[in-house]
Amino acid sequence: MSSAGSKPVTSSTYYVLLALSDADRHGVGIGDEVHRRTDGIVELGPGTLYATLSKMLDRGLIAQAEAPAEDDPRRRYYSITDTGREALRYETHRLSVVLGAARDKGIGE
Amino acid sequence: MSDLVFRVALSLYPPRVRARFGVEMLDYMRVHYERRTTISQRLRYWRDFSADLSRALWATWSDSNPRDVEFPMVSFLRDLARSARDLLRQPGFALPAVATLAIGIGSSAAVFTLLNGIVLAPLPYRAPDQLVRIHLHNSPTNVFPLSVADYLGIEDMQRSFDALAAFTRGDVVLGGGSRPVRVGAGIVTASFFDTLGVQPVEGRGFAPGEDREGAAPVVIISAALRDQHFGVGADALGEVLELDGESFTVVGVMGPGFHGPISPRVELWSPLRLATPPRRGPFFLRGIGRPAAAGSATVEDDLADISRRTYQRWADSMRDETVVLGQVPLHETIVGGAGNSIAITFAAVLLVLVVAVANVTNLVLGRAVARGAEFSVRAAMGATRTRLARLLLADGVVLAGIGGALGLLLAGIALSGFRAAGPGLPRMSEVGIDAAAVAFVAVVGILAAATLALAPLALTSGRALRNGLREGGRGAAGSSLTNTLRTGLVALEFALVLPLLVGGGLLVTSLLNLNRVDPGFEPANVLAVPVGLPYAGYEDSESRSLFWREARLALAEIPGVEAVGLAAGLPPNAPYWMNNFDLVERPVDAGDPEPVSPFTGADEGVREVLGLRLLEGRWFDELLDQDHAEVDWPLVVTESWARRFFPGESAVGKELYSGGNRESTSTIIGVVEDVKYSGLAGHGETVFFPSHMFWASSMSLVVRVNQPSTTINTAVREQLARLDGRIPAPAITSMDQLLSNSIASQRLWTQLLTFFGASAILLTGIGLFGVLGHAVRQRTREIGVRMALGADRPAIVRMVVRRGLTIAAAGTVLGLALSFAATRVLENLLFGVERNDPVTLMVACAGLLAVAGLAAYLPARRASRTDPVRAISTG
Repeated sequence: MSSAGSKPVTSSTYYVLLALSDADRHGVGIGDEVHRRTDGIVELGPGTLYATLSKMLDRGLIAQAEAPAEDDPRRRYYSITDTGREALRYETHRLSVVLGAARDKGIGE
Repeated sequence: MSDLVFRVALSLYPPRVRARFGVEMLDYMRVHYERRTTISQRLRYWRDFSADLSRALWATWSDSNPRDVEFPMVSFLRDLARSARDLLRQPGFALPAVATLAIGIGSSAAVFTLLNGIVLAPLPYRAPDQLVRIHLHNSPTNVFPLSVADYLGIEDMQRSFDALAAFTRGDVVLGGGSRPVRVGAGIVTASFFDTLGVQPVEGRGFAPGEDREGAAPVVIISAALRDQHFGVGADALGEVLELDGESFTVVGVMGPGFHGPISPRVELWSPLRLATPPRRGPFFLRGIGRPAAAGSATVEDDLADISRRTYQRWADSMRDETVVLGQVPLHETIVGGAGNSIAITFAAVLLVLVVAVANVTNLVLGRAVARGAEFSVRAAMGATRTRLARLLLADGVVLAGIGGALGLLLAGIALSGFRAAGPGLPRMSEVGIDAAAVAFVAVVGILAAATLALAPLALTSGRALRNGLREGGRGAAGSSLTNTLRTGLVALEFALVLPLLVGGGLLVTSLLNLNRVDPGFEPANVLAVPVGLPYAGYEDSESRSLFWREARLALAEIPGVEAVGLAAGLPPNAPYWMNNFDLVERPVDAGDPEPVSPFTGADEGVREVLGLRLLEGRWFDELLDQDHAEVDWPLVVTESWARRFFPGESAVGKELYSGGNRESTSTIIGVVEDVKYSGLAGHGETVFFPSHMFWASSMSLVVRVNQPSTTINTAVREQLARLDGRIPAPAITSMDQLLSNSIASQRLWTQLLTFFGASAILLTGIGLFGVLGHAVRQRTREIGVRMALGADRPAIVRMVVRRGLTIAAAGTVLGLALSFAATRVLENLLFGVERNDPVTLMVACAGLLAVAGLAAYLPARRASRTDPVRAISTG
């Protein structure tokens, strides 16, 4: 287990990892996917999203990906790396433990 | 929106992120902005933008090496402490400055919480921006609810919605406690909570089918009603509530934070009992829908198609083909006209804020001049300009910080006072001092601190400092520049105050005009007693008629009561319903809309109690004689109604079909002077039908008394309880009160705007006073010379006052231009006065100049008392 993959990640990092887990996406696509998957509760602002992407690129959780030829060349695509997948798995496990604890206490039934 | 705006917005983000992703971020901002189409969505975009900006700045900054930022921070904290100490030593400067900022920031923060909580905040439902209200309309202004036939039709035929619901509101009598009470109830379709995307915190929502005829009666209650009726935190599930004499099983409890879209607020929700109706009307259901992300038709096409098919199906009972379905964002229908008033008030209070900051800037400039010598010495001793700037910034931050903190406190106080005054604003329960309010105060505080620091910074230019050292003894660093700045600021204040005064003046005139409107009835000494009968025991018209007749007789016996009437609907703004009708003489063409008027029920007593003035024909006969009446369905109309539908002839004896009923006709038997049932600002067209034509279960007894007293109110309640103990004690109001309530919101906005105008003009007057006072002190020697050369005192007074008036006049001219532009937004709130009313404009200008004159006269008088000998020798 690499060190970057076994640390709790911030919630915006988690949303981005989740959005990229099934497809490569550009920034707007990531924002839309997160918005859609969370029933419109989470809306990532440009600063939050790109500051997060910047740190994730630095930490090797995501990488820049090949863009489909037909798309706007200004839009860069991002893909999840193995480290990112590891972090996603670890964080999902951590969250499910936390949620389980909450349910045991009768919260959110 | 232009590219430039996004580029400027982008430039605020941390450089590190911007350098890496600039192009993509621009694209991201534009895409997201363009998805928002309504004004409130776009305003919300910029609010979210500021939150995002601060988050991004913090994330980047907190990541940086702490040692990079610690050193300057610590020294700046030292500067702050020094500024605070200096201010404490100069209370004559600090107190007015801090108080002015606190008032400016506090009042704008208070109005901001209203704007944010009511207009900007999304509704507390799942994906609230998707929700729409579905209604019927046959013109942009004639918008009305759906009927059961319409709703079932939409449910059956629609191809564009994920979820659909309908609701109506009613009052029910809740029995079972120590006393029966009247409770607001939402009568809803089973899909209501699912459509909103909210669920009860205990128990379940309604199941499909529970809103059809024959389903077992169930109810969902609010947490408040549960606490009140069953005990705090009690388990209410499965318990039985007695509503209107019928038993309902509690299946769910909503969370305490739930505010439904039903207004006024309700405490319980129970399913409608839908069945295929015999005809298209009546229209009482408010529809809401959640359009599907990918429906097989657009909502517009779908609704148009359903409208067409519904018309064909019900053409027998509704001949108006122009009535079609329409949709509006749910947010818009809930916030409505209040949004406009709040936005205007916010704009007004921002003007006050600018005037307040300008005034404090003026004070700071005055102080900077006094400290000019100090600055010059510091500069001569090697302080860099950056260092001086930091000192000034520290002053600004301390002033704005204290002003902002006090302002937040003031806003909290103002808001609780506002809530206690209880204007009927929508979503008021969602308004409060929250994170957004604190963020607003923070942003305003930062801007104010920057302004307070930047203005005197101009004085620290190298040349100004050198001059300062030369004139050091007199402490007048950059004095001519300062004077220009200060004069300009005061002129700007005058310019900003004028639109406030003109707006306030127009609203005051409108309110006075409203108060002068003849409502068409005599409100003095008349009580309105709204009574709602439970369902059980009053199922048929016979039993209801018996109760109402007995109630009238019982109240008439109370000592002090002079007359009693029975009304369905009350002036000045609550007719019983809006009803369509068709003139027998001149029916509309098939497919054309029938005219619509307020219809209201009254018996023979109402005319006497309300003092209605009969112009022609007669009023309704004695109730008890109805069997001997000459016409079956008599109506009385008001003068404007008669003039509109029967111009140049008498309306008496004319017949009409009412409410789509073609079987029988109603006959007009009399005409009365106009009575306002559509608000004091509305028209006076009303049709009265006799109360006994339709014995409703909710009506109002109107009672004329010789002298209103609590004894009479108690006796009224006792008499009603004696007739039927299950009837909740009525909320008795006077007609005077109803009249006053009907213009409560106009009064509120008028008072607020007038208050802001008065604060702003006071601040501006003080600002002018300060600037002229300073100028007079600086020119003591010149004045002394003039007097020595023979100028008399009045000449000196004239000289100073002329200067004050010149500044004020310059500002006023600019203010006039602003006023012409600004009053445009008031147009919908005005009554009986044009937005460019010359009298209001002139009075506002004259008032402004009068204040200027007074503010200038005080320093002028002091100048005229200059002793020439001393002025010349010491100056």
